[in-house]
Amino acid sequence: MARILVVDDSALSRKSLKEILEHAGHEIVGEAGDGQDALEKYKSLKPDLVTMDITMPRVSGIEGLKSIVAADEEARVVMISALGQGAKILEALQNGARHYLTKPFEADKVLDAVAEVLAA
Amino acid sequence: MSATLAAFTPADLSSEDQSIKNLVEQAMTFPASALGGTVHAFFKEHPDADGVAVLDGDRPAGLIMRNEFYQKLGSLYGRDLFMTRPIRLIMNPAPLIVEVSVDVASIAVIAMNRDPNHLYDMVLVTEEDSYLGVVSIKRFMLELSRGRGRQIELLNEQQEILRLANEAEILHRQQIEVKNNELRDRNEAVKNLLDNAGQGFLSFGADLAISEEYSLECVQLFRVQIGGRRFPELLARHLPSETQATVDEVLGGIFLAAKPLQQKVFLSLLPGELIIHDRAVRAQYKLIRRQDEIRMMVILTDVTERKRLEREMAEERNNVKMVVRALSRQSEVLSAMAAFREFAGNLGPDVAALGADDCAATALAEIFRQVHTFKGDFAQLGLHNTAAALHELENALAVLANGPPPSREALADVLSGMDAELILERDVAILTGILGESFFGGSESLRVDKRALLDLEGRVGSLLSGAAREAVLAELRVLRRHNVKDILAPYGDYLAGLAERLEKAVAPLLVTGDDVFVDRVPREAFVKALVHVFRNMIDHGLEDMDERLATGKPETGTIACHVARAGEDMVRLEVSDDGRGIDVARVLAKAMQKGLVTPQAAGSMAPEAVYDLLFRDDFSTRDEVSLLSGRGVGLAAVRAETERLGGAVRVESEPGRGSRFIFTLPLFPDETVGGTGRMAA
Repeated sequence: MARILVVDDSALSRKSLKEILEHAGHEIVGEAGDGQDALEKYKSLKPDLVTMDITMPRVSGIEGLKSIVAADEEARVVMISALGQGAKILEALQNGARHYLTKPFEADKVLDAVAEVLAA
Repeated sequence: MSATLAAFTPADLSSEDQSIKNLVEQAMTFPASALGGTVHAFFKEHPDADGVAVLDGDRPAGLIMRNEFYQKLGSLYGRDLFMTRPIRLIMNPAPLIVEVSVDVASIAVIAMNRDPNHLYDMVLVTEEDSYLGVVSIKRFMLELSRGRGRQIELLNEQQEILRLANEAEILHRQQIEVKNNELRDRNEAVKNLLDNAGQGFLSFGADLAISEEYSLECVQLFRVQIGGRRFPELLARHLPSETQATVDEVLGGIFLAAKPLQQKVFLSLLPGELIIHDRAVRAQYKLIRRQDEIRMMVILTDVTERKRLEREMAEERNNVKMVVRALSRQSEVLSAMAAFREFAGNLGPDVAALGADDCAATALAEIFRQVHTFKGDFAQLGLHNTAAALHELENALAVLANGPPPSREALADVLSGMDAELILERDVAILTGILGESFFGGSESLRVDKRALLDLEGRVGSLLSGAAREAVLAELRVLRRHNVKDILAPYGDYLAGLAERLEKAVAPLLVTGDDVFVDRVPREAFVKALVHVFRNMIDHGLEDMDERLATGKPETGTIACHVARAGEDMVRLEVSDDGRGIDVARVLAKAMQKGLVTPQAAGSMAPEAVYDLLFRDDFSTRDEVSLLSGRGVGLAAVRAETERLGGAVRVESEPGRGSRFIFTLPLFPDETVGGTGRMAA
C-alpha cells in the first residue's frame, strides 16, 4: 500500500479521495491546497504518489506538477480534473503526469488508476 | 499494385464517371413542419412520385416514401393522427444520405444492406451538406448493371493480359503467383469488412492517414469516402471546438508513447462518443501491431437509438443516486448550496465595485476557478443538473477568458445570466419532489416516509448494477438505521403528556451520549416496551411536587436517557429518574403477600435480587391498579423484549435519590457504533 499526498483546493474533494484511498488501505501522508504547498509537502514527506487537482488558486496543478517532476523525475503524479478538461490533461501528460482521474470520483476508477501507476 | 486489384477497391471506383452526380434527380421537398395533408395532396396530384424529401433549412431531415406514407395513414386512427400534424412525425428520420462525391459501387452495397422495408427507398444526396436531390433505386440499379458490365470487361481484359504475360514470361510466373495470392488476400480482407455492415471499421498508422481498407458503414456515417484522409481532420468537424486541437496531439502522443500505460492513458483521452450528422456514434480505439508497425483501428457504432433509451434510464438513475446521496449527506448538500448562493449573490456587487485600475481578467480568473470548484463539489454530491448548469457557465467564462482582456462590462454581462436559483432549480425540484419540502427546511434531521425509502431501494435495485448498486444500497441501509437517541426522543412528548395528567412536573426528556445507529425494525417491540419503564418512573418513581419540595429537591423531576457504546458490538442504554428510589421493604412485603418469596428468604435478600422481582410477570407493587401502570405485566414485557434481542437489563436504585434501568443490547453485525456514520444526526 502506498503513501499518498492529496492536493486539491476543495475540502470536499480531498475528503472524498481520502475516504476512497484509506478504505483501500493506502496512507494519506499529507494534504495540500495549491501547487506551491504541494511541492513543499512533496519534498518533506516524499510520498509514493501524488493526486493533483488541476484548477487551484495561486499555483495551479500544472505548475505544481512541473515543479515536482523537476525536483524528482521519478515522481508519480496522478492529475485530477473535471470533465471537459482534455487539453489540460494532455498538457499534464506531456509534462510528466502518469495518469489522470475525473471528478466526480468513482472509487473503482480511482483505485485502478493508482494501482496501475504504482505497478508501472 | 496490380491493375486487377484496383477494380475491387472502393477508392478506385470513385473516379469521376463513377460518381452519382449524373443519377441525381429532383424530388419534391417539404419542410419538416408541413402537414401530412399537404403531402397527401401532392401524392394525389402526382401519381408518378415515389417519395418526397423533407428538409430542415437546406439540409435533409428525412424521407417520405409513398408506400410507407399510405401504410401509416391506413392504420387505425392514422388518418386522424397524421393528416393534420407535422410530417416530422411520419417521415423516416434516418434515411440513407450521401455526399455527391461517393461512387455508385459503394452506395450499391450500402443501399442493399438496408432494412428490407427500406430497400427501395430513395437515397438523398447532398453537396457540402446541403440537399442536392435524390437517386431512385430504379435508376440506380440500371446504372449499376452497366457499371458491373464495365467491371467485368475490365476484369476480362486484365485476365487476358495476365494470361498473355503468363505465357510469354514463364520466368515471372512465380512473381505472378505471389501477386495472385496477395490479390486474393486483399479481396478477402475487403470482403470481410464489407460483410460487417452495421459497424464502421477504419485504421491508420503513425501518419494518421486512413487506409483504403475501411468498411462501407463509414461512408454511411460520414457520407463521404474517407480513404487517404487524415483521421483528425475527418473527425474535426464532428467534434466540439475545445476537443479538436487535442485529438491531433493525443494521437501523436499515442504513436510516440514508450510504455503501455502511457499508451493506455493517451487512448482514454480520445473522444469515446461522436455526433456525426446528428447520429450518436460510439468510437472504440484499438492499437494493433503489424510486424514492426503500430496501427490504430477505430470501430464506429451507431448508437443513436440505444442512447435515446439509455438517456431516459440514466436520467432516472442519476436522480435516484442524487436523492440517496443528498439524503446521506444532507448537511453537506445544504452547506454547498448556501456557499454557492452566497458566492453568486456577491458576484454582481463585487464586479460592480471593481475600480478602473482593477484588472477584470484577474477577477474573471478567480470567478472561473470558484465556479469550477463548485461544479466539482456539486457533482460529487450527486446534484448532476446543477453541475451541468455550472459546466455551461464555465464554458461561457472560458470563452471570455480566452479572448482579449475583458472589460468590466463584458464580465458583468456574462455574469448577469448567472442566477443561483435558476442553476439549482432542477435539482431542488427533484429533491423536493421525492423527499418533500422538509429536506430544505433547515432542520438537520429529516423525516422520510419509510415507504418512500423502500421504494427508492427498489428503484436502485432495478436501475443500477454491480458495485454501484452495492454502494448505493449500503448508503440506503445506513439511512434505514436510526440514531438510538432519535428513537428515544419521541418519549419526550409522551412523558410531558403523562406528567400533565398525573399532575407531576417533569423537565423535558434529556437524551445524551454517543451516536449509535441501528436498524429500528427488529427493535420496534423493545422500543414500545420501554414505555413501561417510563410509566413506572413517572407514576411510581417521581414524587409529587409537594413531596419533592419537602425533601429539598427541585419541584420539577427529571427523567434522562443516556446512550453509550459498550465495546465493539454492544450498546448500553440507561434510563434514570431522580425520584424516591425503589422501596425495598415495600417490594418485599408485596412479594411475600403474593407468595413469591418466603419471609425467611426475604430477610437475607440482596437489593439487586429484590429489584429483580419487579420484572416477574406475576408482580405488581401497587395495591390498586392505577390508570396507567401497575397491571403487573409492564416490566416483565420489557425484560422479555430485551432478552429476545439477546440483551440484559438490571436496575440500580438509591432511596431518596432515584433509580436507573440499565440495558445492555447487542448491535447487529452491519450496524454502526459511534458518530462515524455519514448521516446528519
